Amino acid sequence: MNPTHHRLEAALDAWPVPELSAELSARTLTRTRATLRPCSSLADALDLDRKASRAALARRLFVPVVLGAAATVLVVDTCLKIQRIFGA
Amino acid sequence: MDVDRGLVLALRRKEPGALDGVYRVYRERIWRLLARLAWSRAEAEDLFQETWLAVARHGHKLREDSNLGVWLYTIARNKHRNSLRSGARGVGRRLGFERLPIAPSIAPDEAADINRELGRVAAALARLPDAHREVLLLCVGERLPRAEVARILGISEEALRKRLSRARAALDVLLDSNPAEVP
Repeated sequence: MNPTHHRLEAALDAWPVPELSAELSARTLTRTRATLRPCSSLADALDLDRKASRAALARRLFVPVVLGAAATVLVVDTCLKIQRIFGA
Repeated sequence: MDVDRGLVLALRRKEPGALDGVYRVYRERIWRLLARLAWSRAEAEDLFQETWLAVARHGHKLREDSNLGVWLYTIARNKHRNSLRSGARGVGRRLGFERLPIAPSIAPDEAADINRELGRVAAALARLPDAHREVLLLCVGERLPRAEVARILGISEEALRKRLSRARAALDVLLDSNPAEVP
């Protein structure tokens, strides 16, 4: 076997990998199980963390809501202008 | 039926407990790879969670003949690659080498020698390009068959052979140049 390969193999065998903590394991399993559950709320459907769901939901909804409102104002304003032009 | 095939079928059918079964079998291996690739616990923890979330989301799309190990390693490796590309992580990467104590059964002198050698190899690995480091960790660290590593990396076996050879040569040069240990 290539000596460098052998040396690397020996080092990796002896290399102490940080322990996979029970806390990380529990957190990971909780999040993955939540992903598998049927969506029971908008936050779940958007795959948002439950703790921060309100803030995250607000952030996600902000742009579509603002854009939607702006588009509505634009459409209504245009309709009114057209109405004025044709004197209806 | 082997364990992996049973787990693939369970994931495909979205059986309750399927994910827990896969997690039990593969968590240590995926964690080890990510810890060595990411070089820092915080980053490895993020990637680890993202990997398992992807498993939960896409497990039902596996084919019946899918190789579960290859699929999981591929997800983990891709999560790491994506994090490097996005630049969202990586600040302070390679500075988080954790010098954990060697097993207490080993004599202090011997432990010091092992730590010195680990430091040299770790420093050399840290200086390698990511493509070289990941191929060495998969082939040598995880001892995966070459055909599986080629599939994980999305390259041909011939391309893998060349990449592995270049990675070993680069590591050899770095080890010979006696680089300073990782802080």
